[in-house]
Amino acid sequence: MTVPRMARRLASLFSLAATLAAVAPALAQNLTLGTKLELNTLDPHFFAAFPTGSSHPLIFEHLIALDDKLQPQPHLAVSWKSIDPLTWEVRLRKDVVFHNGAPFTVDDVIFTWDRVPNVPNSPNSFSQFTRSVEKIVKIDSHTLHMKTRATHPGLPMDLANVLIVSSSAGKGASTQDYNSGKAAVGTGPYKLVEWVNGERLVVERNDRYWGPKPTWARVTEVVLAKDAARLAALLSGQVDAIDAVPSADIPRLRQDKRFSLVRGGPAALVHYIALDSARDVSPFVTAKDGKPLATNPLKDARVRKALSLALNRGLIVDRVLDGSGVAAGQMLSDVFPSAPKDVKPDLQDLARAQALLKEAGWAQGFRIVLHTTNDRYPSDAAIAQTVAQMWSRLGLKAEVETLPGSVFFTRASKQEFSAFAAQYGAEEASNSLRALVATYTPAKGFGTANRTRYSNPMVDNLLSASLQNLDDRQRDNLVGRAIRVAMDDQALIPVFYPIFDFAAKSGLVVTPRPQRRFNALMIAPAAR
Amino acid sequence: MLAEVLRRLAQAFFVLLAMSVLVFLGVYAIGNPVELLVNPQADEAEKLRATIALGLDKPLPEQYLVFLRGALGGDLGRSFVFGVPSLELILSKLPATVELALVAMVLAVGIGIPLGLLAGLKPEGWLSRSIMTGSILGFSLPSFWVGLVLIMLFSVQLGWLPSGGRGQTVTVFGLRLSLFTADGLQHLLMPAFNLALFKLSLLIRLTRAQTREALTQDYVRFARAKGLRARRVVGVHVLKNILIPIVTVIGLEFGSVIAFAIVTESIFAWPGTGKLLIDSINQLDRPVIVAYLLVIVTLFVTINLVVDLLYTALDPRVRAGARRAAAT
Repeated sequence: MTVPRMARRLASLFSLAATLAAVAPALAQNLTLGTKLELNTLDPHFFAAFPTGSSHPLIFEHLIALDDKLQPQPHLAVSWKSIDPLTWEVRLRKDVVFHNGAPFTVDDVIFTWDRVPNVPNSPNSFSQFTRSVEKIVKIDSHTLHMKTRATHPGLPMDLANVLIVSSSAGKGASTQDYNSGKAAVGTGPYKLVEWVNGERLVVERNDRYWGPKPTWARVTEVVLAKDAARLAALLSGQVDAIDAVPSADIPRLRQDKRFSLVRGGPAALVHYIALDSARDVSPFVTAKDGKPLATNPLKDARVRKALSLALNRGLIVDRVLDGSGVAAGQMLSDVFPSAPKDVKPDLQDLARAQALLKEAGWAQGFRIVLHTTNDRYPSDAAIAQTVAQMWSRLGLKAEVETLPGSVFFTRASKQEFSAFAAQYGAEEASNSLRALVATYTPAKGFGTANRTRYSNPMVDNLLSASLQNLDDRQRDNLVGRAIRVAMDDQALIPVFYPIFDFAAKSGLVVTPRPQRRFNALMIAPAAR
Repeated sequence: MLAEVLRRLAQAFFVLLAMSVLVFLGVYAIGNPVELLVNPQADEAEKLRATIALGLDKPLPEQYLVFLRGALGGDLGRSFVFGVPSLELILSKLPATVELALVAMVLAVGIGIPLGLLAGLKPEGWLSRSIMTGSILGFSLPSFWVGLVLIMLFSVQLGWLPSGGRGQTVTVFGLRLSLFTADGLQHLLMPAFNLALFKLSLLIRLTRAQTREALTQDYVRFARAKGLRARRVVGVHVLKNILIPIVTVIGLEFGSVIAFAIVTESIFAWPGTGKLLIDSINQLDRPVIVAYLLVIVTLFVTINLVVDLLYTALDPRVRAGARRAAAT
């Protein structure tokens, strides 16, 4: 190629680039996200988990939305109130239409509540959020009464968890009809264009949306489960923003002017260590030489407190997580307005911890194995290693065993561990208390994740009282008291509340949410 | 010939049966899928409902019989996680993997055999030496590392190729293929090359060794003495004779490329079956694991059969042997 010809080619390339730059505002209407969340279905009632909770609200909507403090706000419902102990009156928004043009009425709510418990083959159904309602009475096209089986102050939270589907498009529809898009008709700000399982979800703006005009004309969520792949896609400009930034790459992204790193507040999630405190003999607690012990030291609250005091939570958060966490003193992060602010995380105090061990008669220490997952939470294995080292400084012989989640949870549920680390997320203040600490009582739905079978009647009583109370403030008060009682007894060891990190091209603003979520509703162009 | 095919099919059937039993026992020993799938907030009633919905409430032998009955009718069960028939799930992902494997094999064969021939014909030349050194690198560098370097170089630094994912697809005979769009090919190039690298090196070395051996054979010398042009000697007499072991290796490697493309698939976020399998194992999604392995075994059996048929086409001795066997 001769030089002048090459110059001409280059010039035409530049002019092409200039044209592209001129149409950039139009392109900025489109958003591409790279996410670790792997959506497994478009059926909003098939699988209650993070990926569905993140993507489905683009297309479908709840009656009640949770704000960034997880407080209920009107959404498809304009108001709700309890008119007698067994009845809630809900009024619906009147100007809402589904993507297929059908108006949204009480019939759609009734249809949804009828469908939820009857989704075939659902391994993780939403029926836990509809079960308390015995029947729904239609008062007029936009007013309904929900009759509950018992007094149920948690109803607004239930309404914030069930997505409304269209009774016209969804009649007789199976999960496959939703997956194929045939029945995926909601009231949400975006309409489905295409979903390819394991690859991407594409949606476009719903021009008839009842709320403010949706920000983006077209949104593509690309599944990029591997950290390296997600980061490379951002760096090469293939996607506009990513979630779950690997902590090793945070310093590098901070220095790169092309991108902004977004770090939210503490999530509605707690990383905790459960201790086998209920049994007389625990499988992985022995004398230092490996001989079995006649008693289980973890039964003693002083020993549990000592294990908590041995932890330097600030160090774990700073060094292992590169700051993406907040030290935890109980199960509720500050996201919850009702979190008891006076329950502070234990500061490391080895002298006091050793004194407590001595007082409990364990001055000579013991051997303990901490079990953890190695594929479920960011840095889960490294966190456990650090915890074990801190316990060793206390004079214990602490070891770590890491397992893949598929093995870990089954064994944890069979009570095969003495101490294990896991995370628990909750959208409602009493959830974590009820699942992790309340006495295991299948009939009442208490202690569903209480794998150590810890039991404290005082916690149970306060919790039961709160679950019956229709007054929000009194309820928060009771939950706060129950948490204080549980933490005084060190029912478990809270370690930290994770923080979710995001990275985006500069020029985009990401608004983090307390739940594990990453969708187009959280992202807007920066104001100029 | 027909008897041979039937015998192969019968063998395959027993392999499939044995493997399904092993997978059932294996997944059962690892853990309970309900513990992983169900929300931790869910109570006993919900866990019980999920257990029944997935058919896990029945004793294991009965679960297996239910599976067997379905499998004989072509139904390999529904994925626990996705709620769709597992075979359908795998077949929806298979074109992506086969496409990747096919392009990788074409690259490996298209580059590997000529380079190997070249290196075999002039073993002392500088070009041959550099080819051989290169093939050692291709052998010894781990593919996840090469993949990351490729991404860093061509996507992040140079910005020439997309860093991952599958490009635009078109539907051909009901299959979603990205082979026929420019965008799709761009996405395909790096992962396919990464996957091909090891096979490429293998083929270079194999072809070189075979060529060097063939060159010393009498028929080659004779052909040369007869005054045939070098191109004909190499293209017909050498190439045709060295192809038999190479075809065997290509066949076996093609199967393993499809079955074990997982490393490349996960680095390049390629939505194929490898990733599906790993996810399914992590989630204990037994129907998908069983169905996947059944599909792969079937694939291997088929490939081996095709390789044997190719032998017959390539090697007159085998052909003659088959004819003799048919005559007696």
